[in-house]
Amino acid sequence: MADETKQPETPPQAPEREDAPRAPQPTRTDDKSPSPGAPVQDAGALPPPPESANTGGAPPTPESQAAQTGKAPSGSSSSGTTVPAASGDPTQAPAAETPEERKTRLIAEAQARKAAAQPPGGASPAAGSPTGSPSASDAEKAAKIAEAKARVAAAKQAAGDKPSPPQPGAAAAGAPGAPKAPVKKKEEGPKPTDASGHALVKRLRERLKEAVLEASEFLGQLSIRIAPPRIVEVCDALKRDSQTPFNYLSDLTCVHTPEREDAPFEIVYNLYSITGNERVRLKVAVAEDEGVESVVSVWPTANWMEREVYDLFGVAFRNHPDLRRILLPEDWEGHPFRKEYPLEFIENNWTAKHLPEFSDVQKEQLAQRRAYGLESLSTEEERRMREIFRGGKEVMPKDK
Amino acid sequence: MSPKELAAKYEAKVFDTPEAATGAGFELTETMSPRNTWNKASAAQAILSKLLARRKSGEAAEIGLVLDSKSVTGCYKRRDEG
Repeated sequence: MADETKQPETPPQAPEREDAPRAPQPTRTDDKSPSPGAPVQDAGALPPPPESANTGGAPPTPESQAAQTGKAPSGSSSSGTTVPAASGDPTQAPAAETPEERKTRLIAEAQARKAAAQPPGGASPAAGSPTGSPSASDAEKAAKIAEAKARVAAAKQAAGDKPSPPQPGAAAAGAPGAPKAPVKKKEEGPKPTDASGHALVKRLRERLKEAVLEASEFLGQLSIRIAPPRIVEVCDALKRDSQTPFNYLSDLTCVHTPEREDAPFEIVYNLYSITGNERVRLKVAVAEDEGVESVVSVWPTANWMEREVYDLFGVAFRNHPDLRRILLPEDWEGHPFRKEYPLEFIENNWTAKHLPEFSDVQKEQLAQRRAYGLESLSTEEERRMREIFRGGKEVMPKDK
Repeated sequence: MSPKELAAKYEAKVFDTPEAATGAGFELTETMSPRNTWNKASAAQAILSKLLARRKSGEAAEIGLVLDSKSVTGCYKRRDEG
């Protein structure tokens, strides 16, 4: 490890090993080293106190103080340091110079070079006004503020002058402060279009004529409204279609629309052709007491789907092999997916008949469970929640 | 749709309290106490469906809903026989 203490015997230009660890050294911008006779302060030592810095070097000059602090030399330096030379010539460095003085001198030289490199228009206390008076500093700030404002105004002007599509009645759109053109409202969403020209619709109409009542396409989805009495015929034709055989009944569901009094239920068949990778949706509007023919003979998977629609909507499917409720008990009253059926559970004849009657205590407990929303929880979850409610202060520490 | 929107759609009157409905000559029907907003709208829809059937059959001259903070009640005014 290199010796970090005083090295008076070391020659100033002694070569150093590049790989040897070095102690932090003061930055040197020139090759000048202190003369061997001058006191050399170790770089690793603590810097001398400010009052001791004034004692070692040459007496400070007003110019050097101005160059260092940027202030007029009339006042005393606030830092308490002295600068031996303010000029950029390093040869003017005094012979006896402490590292602190050297550092200060180098800083002053760097500032002087920076001031000299600035353009003539730039206001700097070192370059524009060598005296560095406070009024000059204020003028510099004012100039900078004015320059910044000019830049902002230019940027705003450039933003306002951007080419925009011509708007009717907006002649002064580019002028700053002019009212902006009204934002164009979004066009309405896509609407279904007539799909009479669809190849599949054409084929169906050629074969079945009046069975196809209407065909529409929405977002690439083909929907065909079928005459209710001919639904089985249409389904069979689609399943046996040579180009796109719809051999998969993807879904069978229903929509209840009470406003349509003549046919409030609409049975929806979603078909998929596995070989042709095409989909089509068939719709049949039926009345409640009318019902619709079952398509189990075409797709056996329609069996449970039609039972589900019958259970939840109450639409009857004629010629169904086993038409009975699939989810609810046989003696359940009502069809829950109809619009007149409320979402929330209500006591009815079935519950009164099949469920044990509650005592007053049980009714009170049920009311409490409903009030806290516990009836939807499992037994274990409810037990945990009740424990939390009992220790309510632990749950809500703010109440303590 | 909210119960108020449903009432506006089906031209049903809206009352705040059952007393207001009975004071206006309406008869109260069923009451439902749903726990949340969606169930309340569904309850109003269900009650209105039955009231619409009454109006369609000629039994009711006017129909209405009593929208309490925690319950929905149906009401209707009988058609005058004379």
